[in-house]
Amino acid sequence: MISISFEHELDYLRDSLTGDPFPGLWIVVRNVAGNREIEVQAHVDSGTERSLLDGQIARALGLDLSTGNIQLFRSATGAELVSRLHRVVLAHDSLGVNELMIAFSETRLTRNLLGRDFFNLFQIGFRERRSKILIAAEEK
Amino acid sequence: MSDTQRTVTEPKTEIGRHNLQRYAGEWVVLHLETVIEHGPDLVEVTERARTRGIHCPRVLYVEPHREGEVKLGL
Repeated sequence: MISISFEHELDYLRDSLTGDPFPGLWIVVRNVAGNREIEVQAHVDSGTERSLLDGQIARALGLDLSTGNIQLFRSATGAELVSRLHRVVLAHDSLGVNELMIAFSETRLTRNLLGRDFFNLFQIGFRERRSKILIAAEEK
Repeated sequence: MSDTQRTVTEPKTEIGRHNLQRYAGEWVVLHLETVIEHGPDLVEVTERARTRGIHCPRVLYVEPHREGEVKLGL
C-alpha cells in the first residue's frame, strides 16, 4: 500500500456564473520588485506542462510583456498559443511564497492555469467527489 | 490513501452568479464580496482599485458561459 500525507485540504472554487466547482486557487501574483501584486483565480491543471497566466496580469504588475522570452504552447486541439516568460512571485496564505518563471499569454485567456511546474513545488491530490484539493509542499 | 493533517477553507467569493452575469467577459475587482471596479482591461481596473487604496486587488475574469458547454484546461 502506498500512503501519502497532505498538509492542506482546500475547497474547490466555484465558477462565477455557473456555480460549478473546479480545482482552483486564489493566488497572489507579485512582481519580483515587490511593489505590485494582484490576487487572481487559477485552475490547477495537470494537463498543462507550464503555468500559463493571462498576459494582462503581467501588464497589471508593471511588466513589459514583450521583453520576456517566447514560450509556445500547443493545445489539445493543435492550436498554438504564444506566451512570454517572466519571473514572478506566487503567494498563498496556506502554501507560502514561491518564485516561478511563469508564461504570460500574448492573447486573451479565459482562465489561468497552474501547470506541472507548480506540481513540482507541491504534491497535489484531487478528491473530485468531495470537491477538495489536497496539497503538501514537496521536499526541497 | 490520504492523511490530511490540517483543513483550510479557501476564502469565499460567492457574490452570486446572477450578480456577476452582467460582467460576463470583463474583469471585476472584488472587495468585501462586492464588485468595486469592472471593465475589459485589467490594467485599468486594477489601477482604479489602487487609487481607492487597495494595494492587492482581488480580480476575477467573469468567463462567459453557454448552457451545456464543458471546460477544457487549454
